[in-house]
Amino acid sequence: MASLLRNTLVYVWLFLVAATLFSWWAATSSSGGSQISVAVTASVLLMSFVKVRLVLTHFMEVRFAPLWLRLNCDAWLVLVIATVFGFYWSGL
Amino acid sequence: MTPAPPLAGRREHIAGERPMWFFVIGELWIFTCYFACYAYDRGQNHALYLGAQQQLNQGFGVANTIVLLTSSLLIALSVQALREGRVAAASKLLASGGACGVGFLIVKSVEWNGFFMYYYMLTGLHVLHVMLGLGILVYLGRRLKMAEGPQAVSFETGATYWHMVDLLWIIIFALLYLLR
Repeated sequence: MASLLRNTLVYVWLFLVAATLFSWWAATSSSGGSQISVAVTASVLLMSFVKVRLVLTHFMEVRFAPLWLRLNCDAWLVLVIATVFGFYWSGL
Repeated sequence: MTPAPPLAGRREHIAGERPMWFFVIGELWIFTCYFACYAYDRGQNHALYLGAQQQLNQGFGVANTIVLLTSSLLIALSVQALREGRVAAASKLLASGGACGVGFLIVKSVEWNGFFMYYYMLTGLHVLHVMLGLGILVYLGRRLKMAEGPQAVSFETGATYWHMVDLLWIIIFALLYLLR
């Protein structure tokens, strides 16, 4: 088990779980989550961005991948989060 | 057994085979179209979506997110174990990761009791991916039990697909459960 404590993947996982619980708390804390909130939506999407990037870089080892793959993954992630937030924002 | 050289010794490395990565990137873009449609329609009627969202049990979404994140960790640890030649450990970790995948499906089956198009479409498509991913994990598990064992690269290829399933869920969880 001592080897687990020296494994970066375990710390990445701990962060991912903590980020999930934080997002959940953020989404449900004010008025039971029944109000429109740009702040909550923005922070939830930001946390998703960070979480997905960690899965890509560490679990899927994209940090060791050639430039074309790293660029593809980052471009996709920026676009998907920006698109979701853009459409969310446009309807307010 | 042909363990791949340790990561530190390699300047660049793609986990698994390239065709899997082309497939993964294609999948990510296809899901992006669904996510964009959802965000657009939601943007046109915030109140309706917010009201409907109140009927979702947040606990199921949180639980399933943690289950899939844990599953991804176990599969990543399994890849590491195989690289280090610890085949028995790789086999156990793979099985545990697969068990988490089954757990995810069980939670989903409890949760599905009548909801809306996007909820069914996104989570339904995602469930198909979890099931395909489990099929891949079973295949990898069988290969681990064979005398010659799997090539590290094919093991990584399967692991890459599994992580994609986790990654897509992170976004679906945010869109369906957490947006306000």
